[in-house]
Amino acid sequence: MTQPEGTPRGGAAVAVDIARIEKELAALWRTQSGDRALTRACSWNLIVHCQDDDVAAAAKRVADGLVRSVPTRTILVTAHAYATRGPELEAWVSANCHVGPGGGKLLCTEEIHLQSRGKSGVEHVPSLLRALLVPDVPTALWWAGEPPDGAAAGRLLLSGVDRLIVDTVGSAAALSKMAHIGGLLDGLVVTDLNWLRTASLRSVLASLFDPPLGHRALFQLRRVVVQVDERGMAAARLLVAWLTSRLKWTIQQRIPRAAGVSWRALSRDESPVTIDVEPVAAAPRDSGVHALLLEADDGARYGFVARDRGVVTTLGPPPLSREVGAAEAPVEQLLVAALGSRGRDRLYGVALHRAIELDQSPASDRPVAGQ
Amino acid sequence: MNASANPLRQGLAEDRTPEPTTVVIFGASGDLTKRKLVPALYTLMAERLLPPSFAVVGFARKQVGDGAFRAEMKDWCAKFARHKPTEELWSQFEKGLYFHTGEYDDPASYKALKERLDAIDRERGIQGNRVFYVSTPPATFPVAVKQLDENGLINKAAGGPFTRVIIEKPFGTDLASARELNAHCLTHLREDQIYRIDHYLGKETVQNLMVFRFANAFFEPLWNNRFIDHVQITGAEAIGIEGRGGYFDHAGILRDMVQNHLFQVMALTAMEPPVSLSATDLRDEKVKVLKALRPIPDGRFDEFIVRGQYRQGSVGGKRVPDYHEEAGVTAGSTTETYVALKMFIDNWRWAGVPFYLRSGKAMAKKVTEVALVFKDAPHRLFGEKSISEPNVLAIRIQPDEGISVRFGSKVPGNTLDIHPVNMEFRYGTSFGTEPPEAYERLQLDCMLGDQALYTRADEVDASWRFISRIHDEWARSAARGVPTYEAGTWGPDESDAMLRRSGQAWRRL
Repeated sequence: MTQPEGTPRGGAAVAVDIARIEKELAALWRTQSGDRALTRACSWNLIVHCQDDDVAAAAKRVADGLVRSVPTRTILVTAHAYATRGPELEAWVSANCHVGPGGGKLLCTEEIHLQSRGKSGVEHVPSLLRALLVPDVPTALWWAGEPPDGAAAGRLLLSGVDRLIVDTVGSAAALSKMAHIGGLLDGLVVTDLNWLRTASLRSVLASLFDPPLGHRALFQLRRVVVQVDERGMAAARLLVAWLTSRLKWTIQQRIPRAAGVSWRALSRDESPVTIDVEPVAAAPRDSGVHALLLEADDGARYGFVARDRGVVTTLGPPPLSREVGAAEAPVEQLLVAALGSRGRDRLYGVALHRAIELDQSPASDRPVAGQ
Repeated sequence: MNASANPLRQGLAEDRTPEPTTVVIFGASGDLTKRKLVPALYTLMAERLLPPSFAVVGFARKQVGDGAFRAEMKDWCAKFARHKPTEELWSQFEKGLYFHTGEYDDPASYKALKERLDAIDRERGIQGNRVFYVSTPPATFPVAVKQLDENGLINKAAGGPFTRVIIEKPFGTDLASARELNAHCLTHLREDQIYRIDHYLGKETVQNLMVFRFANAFFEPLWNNRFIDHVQITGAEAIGIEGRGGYFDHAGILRDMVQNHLFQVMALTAMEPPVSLSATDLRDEKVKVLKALRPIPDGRFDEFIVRGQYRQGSVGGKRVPDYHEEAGVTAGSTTETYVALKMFIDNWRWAGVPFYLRSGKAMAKKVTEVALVFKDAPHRLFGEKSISEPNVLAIRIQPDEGISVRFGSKVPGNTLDIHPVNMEFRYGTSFGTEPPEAYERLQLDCMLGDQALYTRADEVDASWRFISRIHDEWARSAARGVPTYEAGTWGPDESDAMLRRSGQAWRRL
C-alpha cells in the first residue's frame, strides 16, 4: 500500500485496518508521547473532502498548519468515485505534533486519512465518519477544491456536520451552488472562504465613510467599478452584492459586455447608479480583486487599489488617501476564522442572495462593447 | 455623527472602531511609553482597530523634535509591538505621531499644547476627541489634571467632542492621598471621564476568570464556603527591583502589587455574578467584595500579615544582591519586598473562608495564579488510602495561562491505591493565536468610552481603607525590623508559619 502524500510531522502515517482505527490511534499516542509530556487537544472534528490526490496533498498541508491554532481531529477523505481498481476503502492514521508555545510540551492532534474507491466505497464513507467523530465537539466539513453540487454534498452533510466550509474563488457559478447547499439542511452553517478573504477589503472601504468624512457621501454615489482578474468574478459579485444590499440599491438591469459585466441600479433616492465589473490581467491578491472605485455625483472618488496581499492604497480626500494594511489571510487563517465564527453570517446570507439576484437580473438587449 | 451610523460598518467583524481621536501621552520619554503605550497603539492601527484620523502626541520635558520622536518610537515598536512595523504602515502611523515639549506645571506649555492639538485636529480631521494618558510620576498627576482643565483642554459639555483622562497607578499612596487625588480629579473632570488604569485588568486571562466562572455551569455551584477550604492568590516576580529602587523603596510590594493588581484579581474571583458586563454592573460587584473585607483586628496584625525583604541569593542562575545593595534603596530601609496576607470576606458566600494573598520580588519564579483549595470529601470511604492532598482548582494568569484541576485517581493495579493527578488546560496548547497586550485592550476601551476594565473611585477607596491600616501599623512597629528571605525562595518562614497555624500550606508552584 502506498502512503498518501505529505507525511505528517511528528509521526509517519500508519496504514490501518478500518475496524481498528481508534485502537491504532490510541497506540500511536502511546508511542508519540515517549518520555515527554504530551497534551492531546480537540475542539473540532474537521472532515476534509478532497476530489483527488493533488487536492488532498494541498489540503493536508493546510490542515497540518491549522491545528496550531485550532486543535482538531482531522479526517481527510479522498473519494475516487470513478475508480475501478484497488480496495474500496483504505485508512491511515498519524499524529500531528508540534512543540507548544514557549517550548516544552508537545501538542498533538490526530489525523485519519480515508481513501474510497468506486461507488460502493464512497457509500461507506458517511457511516465510517459517524463512528470516527470525537463526541461532544462540533464537526466541520471543509470541501476542498471546487464547491460541491447539492447531491454530492448531501451524503456527507448527513454525517452530523455543523458547519460546511467551501471556497468560491475563481468561479462565479459557485455562488448559486452555495445558495442551494445552504438550503439543504436546517441549522447548517455555510462559510465561504472567499467571503472571508474579502473581509479586510470591506473593512477598509467601510472605514472611509467613518467620521470625519461620514457616511452621507455614500448616498451621493453614482458609479461603482470593481476590477478583478479571472479568479475574481465571484469576489466581485460578493463585493457588489454587499455594497448594494447595505446601501439598499435596487438592481434594474444586467448589461452583458464582451469582457466583464455591468448593471444598472437605482439608489435609495432613486438616482441611477452604474456598476461595472472590469477584468484586469492580474490582481495581486488571491481573491482576484485589484480595485474598487466609487464615484459620487460631485466628482469625488473613493475606494482602494490593491498594492499587494498586505496593503491597499485608499482613495478619498485627505487624510483618507493613504497606504492601509488590509492583509489577505492565507487559507489556513481563513479556516481558523471559519471555525471561530459564531453561527451564520447574516451579512453573507444577504450578500449571497443579492449576488444571485445580480446574475438573474433581466439582461439588457443592448450589449456594451468591452473596454 | 459616529461610526456606528455607517451602513457599511454594520455586520463587519471589526465593529469596535473608535471615533477619530488624539491620544496625548504625558511622560512620553518614559519606559511605559516606549515599551507598552506606543507599541500597543501601533498594533491597534496595524489591526485596523483605529480610525484613519488618529494622532498620538508625546508630551514631556525633553527637547525632542517630531522626527527624532518618530525614529525612536519606530525602534521601540520594532522591539515591543506585536506587529512589527512595515514601511507602508509605519509611514502612515508616523504621520500622526508628534512630540510636544513642555513643563507639567507650566500654563504656557498647556496653552501651546492646545494650539498644537487644534492644529492637528484641522490637519487630520479629528474633531476634538482627546484622550490624555497621564503616565508621569504620581506627584505630577494633580498638576497635570488641573492644568488641562484651566487651559481649556477638558471638554465637560455633554454631546460634544470627548475628553478622557487615563491615570496610571498608583492612584494615591494611602487612603488620605487617594481621597485627596480623587476629590481633586472630580473638581476638574466627571467620573465618566476618569480612567484609573490597572493593567492587570487588561490581561486576557484576568478577564477569562469571569468566563471560567460565569460561562460554565459546573464551576459556580462549587464556588462558595460549602466546598472551598481556602483561596490562595499569588503574584510572584522572579526579578528584584532592577533599577526601580528610587520608586520601589518608597512604595513597597503592598502598594506596588497588592492594593491594585492582587485586590482586583481577588475581587473578580470572589464577586457575585454581575447583572451585565457593563462598567457599572461589573464594578458594583467588585466593590462589594472590597467593602466586605474584614479589617485586621487591632493588636493582631502578626496573625494576618507577614512581610519580608530579600537578601542575597540566586534566581534562575543569576546572583541577586541583597535588597539593601540595590541602587536607590536607602540605608536601613524597612520597605517590604514580600508580603503575605490572610483575609476574610464577610459575606454569605465566603464566610469563614480564608483568602491568602502573597506577592514578592526575587522569588523562585514568576507566576501569578488563583488557586481554590477544596475541603475534603465528606466521608473517607477509602480510609487511609483516601487522597491526602486536597482537590485544587488553579487558574494560572501568567505565564502558561490556563486552568488545572487536581483530583485523586486509582493507581492502575490490583490494589486500591489513590494518587493525586493534575488535569491541565493550557491556552497555549489549545489556542495558537497570540492574545492582545493589556495596553492594547485598555487604550482601545478608553477611546470607545468603555470603563468596565478601569477601576472606580469607590474601589480605590475600599482597597486603600484596608491597606492603609497595615501601613499605619508597620509605621508604629518599624523598630521591630523586617524578616528576610533568600532571593530565589518563596519568602520568609513566617509566611509558611501563618498558614501552618490554620492547618494549611502554600502551594508549591
